[in-house]
Amino acid sequence: MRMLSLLASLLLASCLSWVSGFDEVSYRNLTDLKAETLIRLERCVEHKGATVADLPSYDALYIQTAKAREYELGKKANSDTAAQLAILTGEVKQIGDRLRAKSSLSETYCELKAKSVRKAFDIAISTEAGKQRR
Amino acid sequence: MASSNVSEYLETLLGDTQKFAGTELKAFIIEAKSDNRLFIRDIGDWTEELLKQRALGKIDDDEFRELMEDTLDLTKLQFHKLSSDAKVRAQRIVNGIADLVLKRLLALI
Repeated sequence: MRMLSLLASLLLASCLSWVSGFDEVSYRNLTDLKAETLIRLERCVEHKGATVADLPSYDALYIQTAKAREYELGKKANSDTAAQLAILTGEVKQIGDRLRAKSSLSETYCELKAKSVRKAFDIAISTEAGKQRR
Repeated sequence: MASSNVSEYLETLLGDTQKFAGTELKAFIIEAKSDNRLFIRDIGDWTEELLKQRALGKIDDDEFRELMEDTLDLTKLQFHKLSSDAKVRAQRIVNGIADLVLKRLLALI
């Protein structure tokens, strides 16, 4: 009887895994990306806008974010965080796309985009922080 | 008051021609800003801020559209956060039953 219940409990615990546990790498990726995105946008505000000379740094940021998205896609039971990274990647990509299309970013756009990106990353960071440590 | 600010921004943007849409949008923002959930209130405040910046001519239509779409993204991100949090709670209950009840308690009785 005891052996049976032990086996049942182990089976139940191993089969029912709905969400991945807290991942230090995911958390660090998110906080690093938030800081780097905000630094670039704050620099844009300080310099009263951005020009095409800044494009490589925004493209590099997009590549980093896309790498973090791929990392999340490779984990099991991680659909919510993977979806969040897909959204964040899209938002970061928009900055470079706008700069490429318009040849400049306005100071106000950078200021508002920074506020928006900060809120977005904060939600994803708190999602990861809320996961169970294993 | 917040409501008079929204009216002012919408009046600047719409003039007299689109009162109906303006009234609906104003009601939506006021409702969001008075919601008891912090996230919804933030969305209301943020929407008002973007309207203000557009009305002042600080951002163009394209920038306004992108930033409003980012606002929709915030709600999607929040949806995934709530979904993940709920799964974490359910997982904790399952693990608790498996460990404390099925494994430890049943081993004693």
